Amino acid sequence: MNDDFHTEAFLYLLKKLDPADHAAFEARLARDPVARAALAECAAIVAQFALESAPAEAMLPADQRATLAAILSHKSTNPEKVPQRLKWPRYFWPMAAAILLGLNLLQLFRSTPPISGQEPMRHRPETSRRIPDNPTTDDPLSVSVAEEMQHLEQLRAEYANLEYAHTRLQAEYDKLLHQRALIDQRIGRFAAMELVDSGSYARGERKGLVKIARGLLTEPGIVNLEPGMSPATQQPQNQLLPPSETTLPAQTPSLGQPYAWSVFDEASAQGYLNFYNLPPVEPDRTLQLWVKPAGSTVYQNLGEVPPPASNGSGRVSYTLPGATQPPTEVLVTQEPRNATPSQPSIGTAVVRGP
Amino acid sequence: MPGNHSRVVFQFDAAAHATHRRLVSRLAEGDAEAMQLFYAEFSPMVHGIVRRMLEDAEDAREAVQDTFIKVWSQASSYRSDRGEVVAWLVFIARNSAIDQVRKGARRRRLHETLRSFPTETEYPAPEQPESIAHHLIQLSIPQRQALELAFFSDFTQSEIAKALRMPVGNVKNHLRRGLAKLKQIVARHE
Repeated sequence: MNDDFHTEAFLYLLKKLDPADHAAFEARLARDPVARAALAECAAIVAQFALESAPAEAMLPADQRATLAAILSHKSTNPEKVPQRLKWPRYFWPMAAAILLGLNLLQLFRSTPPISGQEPMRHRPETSRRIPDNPTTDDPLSVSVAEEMQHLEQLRAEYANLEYAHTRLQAEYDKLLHQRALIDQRIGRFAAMELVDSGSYARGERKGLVKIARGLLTEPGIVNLEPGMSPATQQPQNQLLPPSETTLPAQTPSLGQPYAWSVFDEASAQGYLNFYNLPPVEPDRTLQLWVKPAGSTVYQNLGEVPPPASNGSGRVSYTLPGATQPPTEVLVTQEPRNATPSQPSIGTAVVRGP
Repeated sequence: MPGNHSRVVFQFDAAAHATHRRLVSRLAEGDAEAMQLFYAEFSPMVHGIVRRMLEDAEDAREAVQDTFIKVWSQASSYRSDRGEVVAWLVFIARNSAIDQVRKGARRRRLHETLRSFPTETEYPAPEQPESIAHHLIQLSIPQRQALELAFFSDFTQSEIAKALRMPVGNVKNHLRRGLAKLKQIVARHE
């Protein structure tokens, strides 16, 4: 099979073929074992690529156990079994009613005296047509019916209990959903992100400052940080997260590398940027602040960043225009002084994030 | 993602593939013990894939659960002549993650990461020179980016072209050549 077939197989596996092409490909697979073998080969190649690109990552032990339990409990929802479970409560009562009716009829005929041909049925005793309310006779049929009714009552009570429990659980679930929505809404007001130099960015190295930022936020957009203190060493007074959450990851850039962290308050569309260890700025250059709003593919220039102090640290705040979406990326570059760049120049990034 | 290249490479030999097929046969018969074994074998792998695609850890957990439930319910439809169990599972995991996105889960913005990835930087060499990872760095960056966006982000070729700022024809070329190169790499490695 040629490369074009592999490309088509790739798109087939990703379900990206047009319906007509998909059907044609299916038909070819159905009749051609060579095509099936080529598809299997393509699937193996792509799977290998995916596994290499997305390394295995074990879940937390508790999550792993909970997930397995959920999967195993889902066994009964196999396609063949689901309808049976759903049908039971729906058809139970009609079936029970039919059984009772049948028993009644049976009793009706059994209690009828042998038909002699001379005595009509209307002469049967009236009481024998009804199911006794309190069967005390020795008639085994009456006892059986009474037991059935008792069983039916038990089932009815259990069903009512289940319905009650279901309603209660549903209410609790709705309440939890509501609480989660409230939490999401509150969290959504802030966006904290971490900026590092291009090398660290490429290697995926972070200081874990976002976690720290979440622990330091006391009011919307206000970071409880004393001037000149590194966020990595500060002990917050109003720390919301346990201390273990603020430990730095194993891969930490050296302290000499530039880094920054940013908090954005969505309510006021205002952002705050604290930066550290920024390199000295050449006299003919300025630091420019850029953001990329959500949903946009281009950076937006927010102007010049004030020159950092001698130790390379400083801070700046900015406000986005009303209709601008919150930023998904923040970038600080060194640009030629007196220039008005519309986009960040290549290779001039000082810090970037998230 | 850059920086993640010293990793376990999933290489399964013929005996492992045969074991996987037997497990799937048992799953088709509703064997719960087989599901536990299957889960123990593959849950980190599935989690790695869906985590690459989904922003939120809880969404990823749900996608993992959904993947294995699908495996459970679709085991009888598995056809070994169309791919090994591992490949079958990888695509189920991918589709489960995409289903999560369609239900409102947040997708990782892979294309943003890829676009801002410094193209002048080569992928670092992995620790094991004979691993697949070692060979995969032979893919050009656009080839790898196009394949990753197609697989992990469920992008169409037009969307890939837009994300990578190149014509659709170039995307098609990168996909075709990338797959051909992967085929050579895997063939050499076997």
